[in-house]
Amino acid sequence: MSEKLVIGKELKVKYNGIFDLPDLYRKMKFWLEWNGYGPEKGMEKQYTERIKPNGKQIEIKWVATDEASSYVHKVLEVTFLVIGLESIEIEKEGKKIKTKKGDVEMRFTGYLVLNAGNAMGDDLSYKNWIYKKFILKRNIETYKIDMYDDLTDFQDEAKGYLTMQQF
Amino acid sequence: MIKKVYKVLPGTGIRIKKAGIFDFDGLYKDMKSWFIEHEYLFHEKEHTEKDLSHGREILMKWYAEREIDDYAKFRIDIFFFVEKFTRLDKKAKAELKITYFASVELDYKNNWQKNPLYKFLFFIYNNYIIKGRILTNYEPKLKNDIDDLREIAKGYLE
Repeated sequence: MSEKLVIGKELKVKYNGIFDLPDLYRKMKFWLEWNGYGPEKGMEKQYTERIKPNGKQIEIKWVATDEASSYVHKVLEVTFLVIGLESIEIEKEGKKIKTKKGDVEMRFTGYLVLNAGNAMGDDLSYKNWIYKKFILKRNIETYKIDMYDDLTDFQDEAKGYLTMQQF
Repeated sequence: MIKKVYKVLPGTGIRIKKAGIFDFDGLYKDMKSWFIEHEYLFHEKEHTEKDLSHGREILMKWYAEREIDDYAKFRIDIFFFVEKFTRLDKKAKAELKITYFASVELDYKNNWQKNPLYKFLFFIYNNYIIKGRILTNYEPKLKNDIDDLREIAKGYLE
């Protein structure tokens, strides 16, 4: 059976103001693809749009996997919750531009999946035990650091887009 | 009495306040770097920004953990609450409140939480056998870490 090793859970980024949701969506998706997370199709587990009296409500969930090795997979999960999304017009450099305003909340979770797809048999198997105890032990810290870096970079990408304070 | 989570600061935390012009980017980066340099696993648990009529409002919740040994780990939580934030070239004008919380988590691997007998032994161990180590070793070290972080903040805010 595969084992989940959580590196960071439900890290939140919230923003209230003017933003371009399709552009944010594209940039975040591009970041995942650029950094080896996929698959492009099937990554989006949920996309729900509702029309509410105070504007549109959108919920999106992505689960993106980087198959770092046949034994270890890195997984990034992100959920977007957008509420009160409404169209507005702003003036920039003398020109009127149509954009959107609302609240967006993103939650980021990053974890490693060990023995992904039962590559080494079940948990009790001798092969799996030897692999974890002697071979993976040396590399697991590297995978953990990689996962941590990816999680914070991905979170920073969202903050950067929303012109928030970032590292 | 020493419990599983032993708080080394008051429950409401320790607070620093500043209203005026300061280098917020520098403060932010230096405090984060401190955690990395001191081998803490650092996370920004929450980051909220709102554009309001009187300026931007920012709320950040950080937590960082460091395993000291197989039994104890340090946890530091820092909350930043920034109001009336406006950028002035490389600096920022704002009202800032930083609150620090710190605790030592004992038996963080939960080896002694399996049944009432283990929990009783855990209580005896913490309150009689290693009490001295907790009070004279873990607590001062964690307080020193908090002092370092407060000094960084003060350096930027004075």
